[in-house]
Amino acid sequence: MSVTRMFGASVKRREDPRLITGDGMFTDDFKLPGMLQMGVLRSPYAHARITRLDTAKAKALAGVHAVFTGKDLEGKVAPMPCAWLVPDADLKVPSYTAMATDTVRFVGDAVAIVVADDSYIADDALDLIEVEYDELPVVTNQEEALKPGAPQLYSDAPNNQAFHWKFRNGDADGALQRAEVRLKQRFIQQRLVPNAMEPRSSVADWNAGAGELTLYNTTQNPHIVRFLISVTQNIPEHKIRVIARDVGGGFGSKIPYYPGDALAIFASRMLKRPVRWTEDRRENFVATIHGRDQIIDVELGATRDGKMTGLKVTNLANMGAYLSLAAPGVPTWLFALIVPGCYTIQDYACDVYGVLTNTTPTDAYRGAGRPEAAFLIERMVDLLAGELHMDPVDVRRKNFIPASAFPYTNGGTLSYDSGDYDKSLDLALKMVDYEGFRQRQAEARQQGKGKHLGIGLSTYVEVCGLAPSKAAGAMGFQGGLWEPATVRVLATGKVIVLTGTNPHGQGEETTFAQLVSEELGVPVEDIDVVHGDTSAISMGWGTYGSRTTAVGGTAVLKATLKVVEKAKRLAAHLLEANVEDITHDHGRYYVAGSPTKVKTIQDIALMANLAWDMPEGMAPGLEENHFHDPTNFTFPFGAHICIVEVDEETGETKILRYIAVDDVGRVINPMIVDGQVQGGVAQGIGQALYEHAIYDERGNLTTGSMLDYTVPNATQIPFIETARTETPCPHNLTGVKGVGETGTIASSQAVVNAVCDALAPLGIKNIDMPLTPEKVWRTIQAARAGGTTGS
Amino acid sequence: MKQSIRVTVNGEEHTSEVEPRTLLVTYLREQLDLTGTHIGCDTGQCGACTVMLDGQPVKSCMVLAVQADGAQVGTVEGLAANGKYHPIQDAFWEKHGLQCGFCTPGMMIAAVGLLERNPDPSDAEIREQLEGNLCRCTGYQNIVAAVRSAAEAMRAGNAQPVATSGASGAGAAGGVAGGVAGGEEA
Amino acid sequence: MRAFEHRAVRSAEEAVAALQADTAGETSVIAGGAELLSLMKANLIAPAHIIDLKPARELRGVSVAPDGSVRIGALTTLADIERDATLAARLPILPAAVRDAATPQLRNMATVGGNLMQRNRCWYFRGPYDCWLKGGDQCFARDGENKYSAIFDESPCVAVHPSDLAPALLALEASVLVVGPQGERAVALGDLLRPPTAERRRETTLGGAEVIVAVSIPAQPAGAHGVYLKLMDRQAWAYALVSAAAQMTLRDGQLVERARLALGGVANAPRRLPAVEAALEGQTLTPALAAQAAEQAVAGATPLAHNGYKVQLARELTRRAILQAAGMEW
Repeated sequence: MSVTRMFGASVKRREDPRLITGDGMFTDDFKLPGMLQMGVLRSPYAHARITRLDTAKAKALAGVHAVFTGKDLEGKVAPMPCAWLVPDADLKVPSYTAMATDTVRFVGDAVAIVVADDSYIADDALDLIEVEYDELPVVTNQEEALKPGAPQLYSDAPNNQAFHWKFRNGDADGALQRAEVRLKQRFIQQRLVPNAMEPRSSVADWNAGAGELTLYNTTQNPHIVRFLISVTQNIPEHKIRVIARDVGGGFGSKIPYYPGDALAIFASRMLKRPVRWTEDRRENFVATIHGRDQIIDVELGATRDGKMTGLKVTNLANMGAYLSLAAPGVPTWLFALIVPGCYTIQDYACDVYGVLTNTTPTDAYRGAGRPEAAFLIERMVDLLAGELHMDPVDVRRKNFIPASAFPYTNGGTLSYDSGDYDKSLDLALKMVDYEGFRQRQAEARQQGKGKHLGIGLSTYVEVCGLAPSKAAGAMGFQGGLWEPATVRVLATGKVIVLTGTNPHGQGEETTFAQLVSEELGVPVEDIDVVHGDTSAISMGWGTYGSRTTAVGGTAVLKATLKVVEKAKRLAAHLLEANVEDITHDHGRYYVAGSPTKVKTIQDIALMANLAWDMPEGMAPGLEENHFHDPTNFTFPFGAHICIVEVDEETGETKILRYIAVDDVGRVINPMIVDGQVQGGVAQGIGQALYEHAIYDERGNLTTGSMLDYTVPNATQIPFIETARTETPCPHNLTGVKGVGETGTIASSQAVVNAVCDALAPLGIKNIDMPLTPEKVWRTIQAARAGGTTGS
Repeated sequence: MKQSIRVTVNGEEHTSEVEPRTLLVTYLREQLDLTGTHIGCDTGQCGACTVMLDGQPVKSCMVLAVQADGAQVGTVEGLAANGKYHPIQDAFWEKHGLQCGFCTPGMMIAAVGLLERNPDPSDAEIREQLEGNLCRCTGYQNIVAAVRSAAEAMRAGNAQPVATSGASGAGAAGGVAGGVAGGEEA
Repeated sequence: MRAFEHRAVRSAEEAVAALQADTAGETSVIAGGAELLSLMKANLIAPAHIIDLKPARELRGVSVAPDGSVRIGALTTLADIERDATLAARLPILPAAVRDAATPQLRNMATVGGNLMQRNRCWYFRGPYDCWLKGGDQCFARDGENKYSAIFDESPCVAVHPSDLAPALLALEASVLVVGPQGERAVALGDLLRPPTAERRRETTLGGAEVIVAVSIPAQPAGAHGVYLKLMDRQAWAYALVSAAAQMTLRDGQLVERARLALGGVANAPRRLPAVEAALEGQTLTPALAAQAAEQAVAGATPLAHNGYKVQLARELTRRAILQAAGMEW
């Protein structure tokens, strides 16, 4: 019988059968007996005092069971927690109650909830709630908010500053002073709306008699939610079960524990009936966290022949009206330490200011800090190349950390585990025929006809595989980032794998099964991976930060190897041999030299569960667990190249080719890895060309629906050519680095670099994202009128 | 004041009482317990709610249940027939055309609608016809590959139009007579 | 959405009767429902009664009259127009115009009548602002967010008509057949879609108890070619920032026998360009003439703070549409 290797195979996904038949179990699909529907009344003002709140008419409507306001939460529901308390940053954590009591601070802030027989009646009831507001001055921009005289959100956060976080390595000031070339640039990381296709949802089921809560929730991390409920709603942790079976996309927006979730739980406890809450898309736009929104000033020092010597970065991060769960860590630790990128810059200083404004809170959104970092350094490299009239390829090569230097401690004090940046760049340049393109570009420019052609590079490295728990603690993250796994072989030889991660599209129900199958020799179809249920496994830290396979998968592998070890010893006993003489070959155990007398893993599993004949000292059953705490982050890297054509008359940008060369370590399922890259790049292109969450001066989100906010559709994302190099992670057993976010981290700057390259003959050096046709057109107009533009 | 409607869903006739303001998607999810059709937005933008209505893909969040009175509705639950997946389902599975799976039911129905009118679409045509279905996970590439693969399978074999069940035979009820199938643009 | 009563009717006359009978003015007519439901979900209207035209099947379809004019029933969907063989042969500008409108699913439901009657997409109109068009005193877009607003100032309201079909129909000199309490009448499309006034705070001149039953397009000269171009902030499922419809008839090479041009997205109603047409007719078409004509197309434009880009787009799309309709390189 031939054996197919599972590690590295593009196996069809185990998740898919239920999803392609409409039998997925998304939170809004759950119907519990007696279930009621909750609706939320949200503030239409960005900053106001509530002067009148009358719920009488709403309460009186037929089909309405209850109406609650902020006052009803007092003593029962604690404020929403912030769980990343960055140290040494003068951190101020404003109090963030699940419903506002006297002051609303962003459009979308919850003011009241109704619980009714169905969502239509709930909506009717919301219309009947009478609220009056006294508007207060509004500030939405972080730079404005820091200025003296700006509207203050909180009396205990002067100048709306939530934190000032610093990083210093070497002597950046000195390096800049001595530099032969000094470049300054401001980059705007515009605010984005994550827009996972499934809106957020909670079904809270409080069993009063048992004092137990079951919460169905669209979360990326059920155990974290369980923990947070226990500390904010006074329900003991062991009496809470959080279930997140199928989650329709997250991208970071489903990490936090939200007011809506807390309120559904509160309502269920008060009414002693299950309560379901599902936001509509308009609510999602204002009440689910936003991404990015940073104003980043960079100063780069270099030699005249292109060697980068010093870097200074100031980041003004718009945190929104409150500090969301993981928010303070995103523009600080996750951003600053990786800013030096693939390069040998050591003299580096970074100041990050977290600023509170009357906008939706921001938090981690795909890449979380690393796209912002990769963007700035890759754009600076291109600006330096332009300044020095050097090829951007050459500037990169000149500054790359050489392959021989790993492990390498970068200018952000991160120890890069492994890397070969020249190799991935070489491959990308070959795929795109870089020299050939430059020639075509030169010819087109000579002819002076047609549209502007441009090519943009992005050689990135990122930090993920979150994270060593020790590092988490040191950074102020109020949790561990280890991961457990249990591998359980049943009497019939079927396997259950339990994990505390919660994949929501990334495919680990398949890839973990592949990992186990590879070692145990059990077919993938006989392995079920259970996630998304706090009852299934003791603890877990969820799926985000590209950690599921790198950390969770390593735990699974180690637990599996423990199973193999026990199986071997039981096989030896059953075969009456010494364990050293046993050969294990893909689920077949035999004495070396006698391959016909075999005990299969299924035989062993049965015997282990029957326990009729166990060796001395061996416990029955065939189940092992492992708790894995990574010793380092992982550092995927790669080279992306984008070729564009810009229409001068309309400002439209067309992507002619997009190439992604990524090194994510070892690859369990190439098809799934390609899918992650494609999806990640799509979001990066979205940021580069289409997406922008815009507030007006009154704090209204003018891009508050999918009509006004451009979530790219199928005609707006090009075909993405993918390729890989493979430099295994040296410090985890799977060799996997993670790929969930690399596409997004690598791509925005590849597109922007390409457009700026296309328009370089016009003297254009920078255009802020998104590069809408209008913005590009205006930049071209200004340049033609006789001024080069910096932004 | 409720109204009585008669709707055939995946070949099965239902007589139901609905409030006129009940959206078709709510009717399907809450009254018929067909939760495979998803609500991704509420204003007809994302396409997750796409179902077949008298043989054509429509957004069920922009249609009242009462507008479906007397009509044939096809949902994702009706794609498979006689214990076999529809070629579109096979193709999405084969080509990794889904990640989180939330947009997938609507995406597949829209794709079937496209393929029933244009059995051999180019990639550009596939992308155009799926403009009304947003996906945040895949970047669309494998979705296009899946639709292409399904097109090939459907040209080779035969698949039931989605609006009817296997039992009643071929041919979608209602819909527009005539019309030119979408082809190359001038 | 607020609750309402729903009743299906079998003819436009029945719908008219229902509208007439409702003196409180709380009745709306539903065709495909795409526009009506979006207005209701946004709480812009809350009719107590909805009259459903769906059973009125004779209102759907494309036919050619003996005089060569083409009649499109008001319940004809945009998808029908996209696929219709008659239109593809005789009036290809129409399938071209709808191909980029909305999305395939919405085109399957959206009707011609509904498309002409749709309200604007101005963010203030669609949002919780008591703007001038809704009976208030102030147009908020004038000094606010006006990136998508009109560049020709013809009304206190600066919102643009969002239809793709309308500019193309205008370039075809279409008229609209309407049924009302006084019977049937025909009105030129250019007279149906008009800038709002203080007394008529709507984008159309349709009477309160009137229903559109069809659009009629006169026979076009032999050799006429139509082009519809559109630029959007995003590539699909968005209303045109600016669109240009050109129906050109050329003789003996590049001699312009007839030019009919219309712009969308630049004014309260789709905008015919009679001065530009006159300047082109009888002339030999050259790239220079097209550029000149395009310049004329935006003469008199008064952009607001944020929509100056539309002037450029209108100019450029007009130029391209003229040349493309004439089969020339642009």
